[in-house]
Amino acid sequence: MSATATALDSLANLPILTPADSAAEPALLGQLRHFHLGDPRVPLSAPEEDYLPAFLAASRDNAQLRSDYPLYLHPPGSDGPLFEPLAGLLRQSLQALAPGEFQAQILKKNLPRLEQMLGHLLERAVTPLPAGELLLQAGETLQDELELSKARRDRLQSDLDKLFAAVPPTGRLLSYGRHATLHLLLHAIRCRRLPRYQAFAAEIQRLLQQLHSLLALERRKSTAGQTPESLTASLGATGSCFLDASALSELLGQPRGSRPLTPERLARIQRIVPILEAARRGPPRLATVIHTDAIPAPWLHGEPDCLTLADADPCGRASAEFTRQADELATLFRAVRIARLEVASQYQPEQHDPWFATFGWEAFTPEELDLLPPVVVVAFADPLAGDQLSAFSRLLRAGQPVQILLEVRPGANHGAAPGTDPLASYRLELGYFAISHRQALVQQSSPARPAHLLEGLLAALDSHATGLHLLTTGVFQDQVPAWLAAWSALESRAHPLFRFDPQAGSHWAERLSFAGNPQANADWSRFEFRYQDWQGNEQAMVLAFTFADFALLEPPLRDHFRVIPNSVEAPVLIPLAEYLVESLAQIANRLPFVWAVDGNGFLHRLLVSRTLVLACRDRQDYWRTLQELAGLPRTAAAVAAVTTPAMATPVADQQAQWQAEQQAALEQMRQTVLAELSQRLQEVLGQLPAIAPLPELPVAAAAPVAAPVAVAAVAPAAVPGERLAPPAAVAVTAEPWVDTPRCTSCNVCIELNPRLFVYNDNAQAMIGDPHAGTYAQLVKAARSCPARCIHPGKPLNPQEPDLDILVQRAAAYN
Amino acid sequence: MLGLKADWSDETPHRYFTLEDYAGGEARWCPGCGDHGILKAVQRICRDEQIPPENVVAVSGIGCSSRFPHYLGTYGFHGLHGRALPVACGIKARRPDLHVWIASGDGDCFSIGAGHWLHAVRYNMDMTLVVFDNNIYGLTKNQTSPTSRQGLKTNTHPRGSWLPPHNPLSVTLGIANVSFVAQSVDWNPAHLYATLRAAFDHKGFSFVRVLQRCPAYTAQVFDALQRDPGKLRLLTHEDGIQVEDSVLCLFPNACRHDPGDLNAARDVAAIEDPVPIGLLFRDPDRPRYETLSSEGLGRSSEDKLQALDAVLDHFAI
Repeated sequence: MSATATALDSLANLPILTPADSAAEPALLGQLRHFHLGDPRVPLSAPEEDYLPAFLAASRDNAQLRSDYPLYLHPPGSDGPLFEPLAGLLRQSLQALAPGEFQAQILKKNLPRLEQMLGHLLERAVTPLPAGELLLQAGETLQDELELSKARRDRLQSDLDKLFAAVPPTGRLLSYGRHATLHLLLHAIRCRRLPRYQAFAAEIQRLLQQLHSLLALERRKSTAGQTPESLTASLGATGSCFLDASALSELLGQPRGSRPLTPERLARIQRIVPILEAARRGPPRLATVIHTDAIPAPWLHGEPDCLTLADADPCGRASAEFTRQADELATLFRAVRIARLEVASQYQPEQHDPWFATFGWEAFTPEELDLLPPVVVVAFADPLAGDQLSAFSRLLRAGQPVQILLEVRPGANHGAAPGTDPLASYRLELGYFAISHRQALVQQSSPARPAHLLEGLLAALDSHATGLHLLTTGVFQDQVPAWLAAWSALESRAHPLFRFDPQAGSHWAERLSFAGNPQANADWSRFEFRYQDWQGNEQAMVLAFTFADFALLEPPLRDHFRVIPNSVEAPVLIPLAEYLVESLAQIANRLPFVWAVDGNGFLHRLLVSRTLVLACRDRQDYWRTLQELAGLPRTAAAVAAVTTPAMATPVADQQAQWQAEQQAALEQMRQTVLAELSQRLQEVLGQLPAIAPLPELPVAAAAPVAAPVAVAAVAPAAVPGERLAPPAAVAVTAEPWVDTPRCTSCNVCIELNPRLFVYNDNAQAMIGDPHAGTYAQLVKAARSCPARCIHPGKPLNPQEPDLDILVQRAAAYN
Repeated sequence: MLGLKADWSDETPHRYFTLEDYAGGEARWCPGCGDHGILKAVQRICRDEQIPPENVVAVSGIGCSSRFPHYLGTYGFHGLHGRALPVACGIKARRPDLHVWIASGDGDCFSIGAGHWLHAVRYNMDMTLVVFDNNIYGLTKNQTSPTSRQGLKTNTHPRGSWLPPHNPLSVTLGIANVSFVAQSVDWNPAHLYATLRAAFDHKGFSFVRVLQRCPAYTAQVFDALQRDPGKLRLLTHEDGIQVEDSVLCLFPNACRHDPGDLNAARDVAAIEDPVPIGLLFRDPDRPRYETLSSEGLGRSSEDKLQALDAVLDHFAI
């Protein structure tokens, strides 16, 4: 999302910086230093509630702010993205409808107003609402407010109607709220899974139909199905007029090769049919949502396709609930799998019985897992990081495809003892903690970035891994809209966006995605800040948005700031971002501050306590760790340069040397193997007699017994259009042989002597035992063979009678 | 944990079919009959494609050739004289998943079944018609068939057949929506196999005429072709029937013919001497009727009743 806070253009609205007219008194400097070092009792005022980080000053006028919300959720089944910002959708649709500059002018001019009205209509909505109705309502309100003349009113109405027609009315509008993530997740499940449920239902239907056909056929095979009465019923009134059912019954009684199903198979089919029948009833459940009662979500109970459960230990319950549902579905999937095998006649009891006896969710295919309604845990981070930490950890290790939506507060330290300062100890990074479980998909995101969030949700749904989604929705307070607070958490590195997908690769950099973070290569995101000086001149400076800036939005952390009087000038004061990168020696006498704007639009410096500075360093360290793990090039180079500047080059040199050595070794091995092979070849060849040219035979050319095919195979390829040379004549050999590939399997020779001639795997004839028959049979077979592929050779038995005549006859076939 | 239980359910050794699995009753054609070779070629194709025998149907009419379904160990339908094609079309219309072979003879297909032949070609349903053309009525003992050569002496024409023979290739190529026409000879198993395989692979109605020796009555007719392969003209093309060089060598007379060119195919078919062998025409993009006739398959009885009600509602007063 492009959470853009458009700074006000008019100079009058820029924050004002009052000039310093004196150097700071040593006493004041002392007080500042004491506060910074940890004395909260100094007589300096903490910032009021209306103080905001400088950059967020523009947020006071909400009209200037644009967020992606409301989101338009496309109806399930539609192609393309699952959602898109309504503002963009309306703008694009309007542009497509009225591309000309002077077309639909009134509507174009009032489109922001229409969006604003929709925003108002959705303000109190806790669930997504149908778009069609709301759009019509907003259109009517717009008409009423504009009070146009009739002609212009009609024109506007016509444009509105066209615009609304371009937006499918079954889509829904989602406003930003506490449960925006859950709505997005349910929407994603609806869009992704419903088609699969439908395809599965269709498959069950098909299988049932086939099983019923099998059973019906079985009934007809049974004696009961062949009685004259049942045959009359089958034939119907008309059929019975033409056929004699009793005669038919008698005929059918005689077995004609149709075999009945085995009793085991019949029982198996009868067992699975009711399971499949039961699965057809009722719409599928979309998801099971488990939450602690701490989350007020009464709307959830109204969702017809969600099972909602409240439990003090949501992680344990989720695991148990998943197991229960998976066991239920295992029965169905087992039945479906058996049905598939039965329909294909492939069920083999010795093979499949033991397999199905231990069939559980661990053996589900990804497609089957997609049919399991996702179990979703909705919880706050505090209890999970506290006494439920072990249950939470167990769930992350269980490998069950459970989705955990965890609301975290970037300014808090989850799991710290109640009532303690959140900055008093290092922060428990739940994301990092979860990554240590290695196999869970962990993403840190926010509904303020719906595209990033949805991508992670879909990745988790599709990967079938346990999904942990750490979300910050922002604090719902008057000063700053919640989405902007969440946006600030992302900008200030308090809540960096990341996604750890264990299935994405084998390296950290592949598994950890850092996409979506603003200025991801830098420590802090920086932006240009414009203000006006006391004389009314516009000025600009570059500010970093640090964790301390974000901390100003967190009421419990306000006490870590003190307002520095604007009238004093002191060189010891330096911006926090600079303070954080200076060496310890350089900051020894310095005091860090951040810029803030008060409710009246005046710019102030706020002194930052040392505790908060340490918290900033802590966040910075965590940020750098993530950068490094995500493989950001700048960070890797920077780390290498900082930590081992002298080592970098030698390491590279050494690597190159190793590679060269390895190459040389490989080459040497290759040479050795080649030499050895060559030597062996020579030895083998040396044992063979010298290859001499073949002696000229009295008959045309030479060919051994198995040669005809080979001779034909090496014959020159046919040149289309040219007359081909006839196949070379073959030599007369003593052994009889059959030109097997030409055999037409006509059975002549086999019938003559099935031992002399046998069929090969292709049912083509070859010589079986040449001594199993007479030469006379061979010659007769050769003469009878329609394919002329039998060659009798020379008589093997010189004692056979009438050899002279036979040899004479055989000559034509040799 | 997902994947903890390994799935061995699909490790069932898949049935491997051998020629014996496609063998039905003992073939009682005369020894030396060309029908044996056609039967074996079809069995080899089924085996090489590893099609479960229960997914194959052989349909036939009447004649020597029409004993075919008895000898193929699959489902079969031995129909009435000339009526193999309508039965096959009916099977394909409701069971498009089955592979349908139709065995017919020159008398069965070109004479009494000629009307069905024309329409089956036009309907272009995905099946393979193999016409065992021995130029004679063999089963009924030597009567003139539509493809008997002029002058062939038979029991019905003891002084020789009067009329010039029918040219089935030209007729088939003249039918609208024709999509596959090929010709082969039974005495070249490699070419016959390659031709039937191409026909089997073709999506649509494949018409294959096999010149088939009848050792009893027309051995002499084909003897000349066998002795002098130059009387056959092999059609070669990269889109045609692909056979090995060893087979090409057996056909000294070859010519290049593009099977995508219908007009050229008609010219080739019109010349009967030398006899064209190979693929004359193929167009896999012709509309197939079973795509229409198989609509609604898999619907449950409730769906069908609902659809019927919807249709009947049109006529409600």
